[in-house]
Amino acid sequence: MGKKMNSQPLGTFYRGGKTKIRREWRGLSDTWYDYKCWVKNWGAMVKFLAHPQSIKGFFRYRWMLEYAAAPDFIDRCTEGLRGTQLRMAHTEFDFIVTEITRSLKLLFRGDRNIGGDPKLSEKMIAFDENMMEQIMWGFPNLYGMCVQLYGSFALVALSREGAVRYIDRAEEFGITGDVCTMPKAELGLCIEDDMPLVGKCILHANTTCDSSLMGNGIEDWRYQLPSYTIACAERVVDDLTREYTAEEIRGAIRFIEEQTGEQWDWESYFHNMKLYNDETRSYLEILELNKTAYPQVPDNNYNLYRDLYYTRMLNAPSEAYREINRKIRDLMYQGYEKKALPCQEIRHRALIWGVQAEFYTNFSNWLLNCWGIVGITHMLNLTSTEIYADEDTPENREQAINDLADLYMKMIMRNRTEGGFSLGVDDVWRFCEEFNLDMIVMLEQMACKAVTTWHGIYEEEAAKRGIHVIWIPHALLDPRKADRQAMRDEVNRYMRTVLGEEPFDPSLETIEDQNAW
Amino acid sequence: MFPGRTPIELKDGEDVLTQICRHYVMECQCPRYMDNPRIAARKEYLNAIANEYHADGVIVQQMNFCNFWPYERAGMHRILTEEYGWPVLSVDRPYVVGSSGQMRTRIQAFVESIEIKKIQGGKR
Repeated sequence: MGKKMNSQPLGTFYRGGKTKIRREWRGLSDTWYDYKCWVKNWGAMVKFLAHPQSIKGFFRYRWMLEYAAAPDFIDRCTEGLRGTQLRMAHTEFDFIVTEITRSLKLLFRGDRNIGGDPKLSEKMIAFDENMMEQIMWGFPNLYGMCVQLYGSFALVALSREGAVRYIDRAEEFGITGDVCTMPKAELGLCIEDDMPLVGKCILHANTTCDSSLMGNGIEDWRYQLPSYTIACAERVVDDLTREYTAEEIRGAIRFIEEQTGEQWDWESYFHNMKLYNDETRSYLEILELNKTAYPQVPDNNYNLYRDLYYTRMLNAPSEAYREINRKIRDLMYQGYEKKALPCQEIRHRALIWGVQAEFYTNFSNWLLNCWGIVGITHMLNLTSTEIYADEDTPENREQAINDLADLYMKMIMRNRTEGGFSLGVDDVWRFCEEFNLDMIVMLEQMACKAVTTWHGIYEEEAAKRGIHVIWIPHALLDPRKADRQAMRDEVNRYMRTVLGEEPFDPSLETIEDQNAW
Repeated sequence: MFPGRTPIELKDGEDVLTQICRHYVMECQCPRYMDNPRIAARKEYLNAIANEYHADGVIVQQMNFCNFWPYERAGMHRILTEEYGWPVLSVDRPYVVGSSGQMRTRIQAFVESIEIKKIQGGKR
């Protein structure tokens, strides 16, 4: 055990009837760094609880207990990493811990279910889970609070069974088993009354997909608050659809102004857009570097962070993201100069395509450590890289609404799954060529009717191009239908039987998951 | 007139295709029309039409593998029962004939439950 990657069989940590028998030893320097981050994250969680509203929220919502899994989640996501790779992963994940605790604390302070401050609650607007928050840039005195995020999606990243109860409740309510588990979990959260109640009004969007929107209808019936839905067009490559969505954005702005009495602030909007454009430029640098033989920011550590800063779901200030992006960029270049690799050897450069289940499964990190498959990029990261108008001029004010429309149409997951054939299928081969990829790890969400319809086409086109495709079935937030080991077994089988390869770390091929979060 | 059976009345001065498209968009009651006013309006419409035809109960059904429909059905079931007081049978079914036996059983049970309620003099 020690400083080198793959110097210890990581699978042995999961034996012995415990979640993990010990934390990883990575050599003195990396272990000390990792330990400091671990302490800092526990500190952030304890600091979060040191507030009366947080304690009330802790006892009110059953899902709060699952957040105790956060340090273990970070350990799993940083498993096997060393040097700049470890530091980049911690920069991102520790930021997520800090921001989740900050935004959850704010949410509980305004939560009417636990006697929150009514004046603060009136400054909040309840958002639907996959609703991007950039529209709040024009309302600096208000908070867009994603009330579903903490009890469903974020939870399942930490603990695989976090949403199971809510999925079951939605099915008891009458939603059939073939519907996607993500909107089902959100609806179940509402049915169980396990969702914080804040705000004077609710802002929905038809993102990720129409199931989410339909669930919102039932949720509105429960909460009886004024609501507005930004119904984005799906076919994002058509300019006409942007006009339609721009009207929806204008309507949403009017709705917020009417409900809250606040007025849209152009200065605030353009200030935030300027910072957002800087982040986009950073991201383009990352993508460029990932095309080289020494990719530094692969999918395993970057994906979740990019989700959050692209959608702004934690309403963290833009300056905070700028600082993190700067650190990641610095570490990236340091690693590149040293020709550091994210794993012992890059055997395969892969595109991770499809709807994710890999946070609670730790899947991308496992691919690295077990088989040397590096997820160079991910479908969910391949969203808009447009540079939008960020100077306050009369022309740009009109353009800004179109820009917001463009962003909202290109919401994570949605733009590829719902955006049409060119985005969901044709672009796969373009990215494989652009990033010099030889493999696609296809995360096949069983209930996602959008992507499963293309299964045969993906197979045929991949065969024509000589690209390996490994199909990984999963059920997103429901681990019972396809558990972690089933996902790993698909890769293990393919790598051994088709490619005839042996794993770097055989102890990782089969992991005892029964005691895992 | 039931949805989808209303005549398309064309007016002079506007393109015919546009008028037809508008009619389909505005008149259709498919659950894919999912803004909240339309969702609420469908339930009110269903209540109105059940009253008009002096229905004893309502069957809400849904084809499997349509993402919109189960939410519509689940909401419809609850609202018709809790807000309007209708006896409701809520079924999902595959798009095949093979499950007709099961469907028959469920409908028979539903009809019997309504009849028993009537015999016992219970309210709707």
